[in-house]
Amino acid sequence: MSKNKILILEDDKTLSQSLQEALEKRGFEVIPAANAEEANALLNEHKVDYIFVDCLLPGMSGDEFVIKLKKDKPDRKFKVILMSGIYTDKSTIQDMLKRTQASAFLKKPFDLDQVFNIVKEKEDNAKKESPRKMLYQIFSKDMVSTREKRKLIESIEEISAYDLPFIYSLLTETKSSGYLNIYFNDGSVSGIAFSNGCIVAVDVEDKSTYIGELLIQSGYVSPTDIQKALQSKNNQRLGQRLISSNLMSPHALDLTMIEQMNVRLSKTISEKTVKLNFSASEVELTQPNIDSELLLNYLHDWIASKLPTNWLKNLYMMWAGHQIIPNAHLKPDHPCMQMSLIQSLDGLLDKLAKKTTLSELLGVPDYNQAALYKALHFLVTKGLIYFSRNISFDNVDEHFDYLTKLKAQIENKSDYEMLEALGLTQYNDAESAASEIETLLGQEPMKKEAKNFGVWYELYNKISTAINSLNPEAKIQLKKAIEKNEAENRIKANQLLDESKKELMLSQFQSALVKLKEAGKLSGTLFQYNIYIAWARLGMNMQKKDKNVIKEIEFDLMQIPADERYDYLYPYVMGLYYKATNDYLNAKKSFDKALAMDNTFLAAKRELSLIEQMMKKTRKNDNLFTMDLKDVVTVLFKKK
Amino acid sequence: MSKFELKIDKNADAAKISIAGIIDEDVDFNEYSLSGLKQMELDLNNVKSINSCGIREWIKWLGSNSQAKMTYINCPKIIIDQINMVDGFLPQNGKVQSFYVPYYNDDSGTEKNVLFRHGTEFTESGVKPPEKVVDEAGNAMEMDVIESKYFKFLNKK
Repeated sequence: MSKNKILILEDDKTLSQSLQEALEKRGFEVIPAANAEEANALLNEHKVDYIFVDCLLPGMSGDEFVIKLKKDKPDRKFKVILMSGIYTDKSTIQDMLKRTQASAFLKKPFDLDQVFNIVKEKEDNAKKESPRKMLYQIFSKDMVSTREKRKLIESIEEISAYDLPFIYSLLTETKSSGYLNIYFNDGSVSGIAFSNGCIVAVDVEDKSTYIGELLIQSGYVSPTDIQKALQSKNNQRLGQRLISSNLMSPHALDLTMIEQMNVRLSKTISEKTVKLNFSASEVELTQPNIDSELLLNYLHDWIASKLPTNWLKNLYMMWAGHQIIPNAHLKPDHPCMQMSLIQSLDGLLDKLAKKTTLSELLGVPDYNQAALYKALHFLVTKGLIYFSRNISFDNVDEHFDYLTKLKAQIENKSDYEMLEALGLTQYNDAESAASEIETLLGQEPMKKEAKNFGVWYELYNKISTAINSLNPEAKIQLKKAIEKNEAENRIKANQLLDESKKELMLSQFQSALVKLKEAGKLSGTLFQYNIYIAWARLGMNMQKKDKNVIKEIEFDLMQIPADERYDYLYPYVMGLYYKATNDYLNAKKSFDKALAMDNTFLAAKRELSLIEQMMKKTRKNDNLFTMDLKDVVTVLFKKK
Repeated sequence: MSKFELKIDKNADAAKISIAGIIDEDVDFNEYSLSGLKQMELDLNNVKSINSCGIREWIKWLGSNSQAKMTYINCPKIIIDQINMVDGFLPQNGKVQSFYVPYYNDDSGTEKNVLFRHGTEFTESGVKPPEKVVDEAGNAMEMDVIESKYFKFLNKK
């Protein structure tokens, strides 16, 4: 937060100096002036937050000075504090306050505490950053104490479940121990146990993630094995019973338990709103667990697959012009840099090292916007980058460009949508949000003729008016209306998704793709959406095998969440992808897997038969090491 | 001390129950039947933490005798947090008789839990915090909770 500037207009040098010293000790920047002319000259150079004015000045009186100043500079925002040892009767003071619209009147001699109380009010308002904003800046600190984390989580009244990956990462990176309880609006509660930064248990009320289900889906055991194990009479948990009965290896259980935690954590990440409570406590470090290194892969997966780009756009809108500060750990050999999202953006690390802004990165022509938002969010979540608190621009043109982009982004939004996107819904009056708005817009331009002046004020007024016009009751109503609209759109989108599924089954890829794109516009949270869109794109691209389209498909596949992969469709689409990239061996394996999950799936049968034919054709040139034994024998011993 | 301890002191149709430790998935409340009880006082002074499984088990357990009048005493912050966030954590006919409020001194970093008692530091109409809370060195301490959030449960009934 920038220092508050104060101008003291006082001809009594002793008082002016002592006031200046006291305020400077409190961290304010103070500019003294002995008369109105001097004050006017200084105000042309500086933007101030407060003006302390002595009423009885040589030449123009203090109150006249204030009235004239407000008339001459109507756009400037500052608070006036009048001071006098002569005019001290109640009616005169009231009259002066009314005429000058000053915030306070100090009767001389006054106590410094009175001064500090006046300026403290503004300081407090300035500190009132939204808890969510503070959350996403927590990694800017070198150390985060348990108390700080607890207080921060406590200060968040409600949060989107899309914010949860960040919370998980925060508790992991800061080596937390305790229980994170997540309360959903439907009354259900989920919980995650952390032990020294490792996730040791994930509890969600969801039968589809029971260990038995996952073991069957992973192919480690059959339903009959589960039945057998359940029949054995002992108090062990299912996994242990399977191991005791020699139906499964301990290693398979460990892998599945980790996958269970991954799927369960993934399921907590949704469009729902949640409340959180973190209770620090000693928790035993049990095996298997998810440590920071393993979590890195999951975070990447969740951010790529579960977070809608529009949600990320809204989250980062308030930081678009802020410098991205890289952490000292952000180096080319950091494991994060090898992840697909980062790899898909050429030269991202170099750009981040130069302390760029999101706004600038969005202007890089080769960058896929969705991939950029997700990659940055991944790095923010891992604490490898953070956004600077203050916005700064090298020149007026840069500031103007930023403001113009911001204006375009909020142009078609309603007042509430705009405030939500800018993270300003918690404010009920523009004055208390002033510092937050300035953080968003950058410093108020000093010169009226400057290029950025008009658009700055236009945005400032638009945002201030929106804040003042929406009372808390209206905000609740608008939020409900938005949710209702989203729910209606989701129904329409699901209908389109169903229609496109039928068309995909009939190999009508183009028509399916059009419908899928339409559905994607209506809702960003459709079950298996990316599987279908990849299927449609692969179907259309099977002949041409265009490299750019393959790149797009790879991004679609990256966005398929873990909990959507336990279905015959996922291996089927992966099979199509391998086929398109001429990896017939993996294509065959994938189609086999799809058929193992659903042996009535005709499309997979057809593809499997096609791939087998293709493999036969290419086998002539095949390497002996990758051939089936039967083929090796045939090649080596076939009579010429 | 084991991870969880529960003692029931039954006297006809009333019982004093004291609970200590961690309430999680390993706690089997079925071992502690509440049937036949008409009045219960739960002393939660030594509850250290509760996880999501524990919350579900707790609601199920107390719900098994929803007719009984219940009084929670010496509630630590972790319990008040659940009462504020989870419907049914404090049953309909339940009442908080006393609870702890964390205090903190910013300069020394000292923390202290101050017991707020019904009729003294709080009533149905609001909270009357002690005028001054000091740490062992005599430093003034401030309430370390978001008041609008922490005392929300007082307006629930």
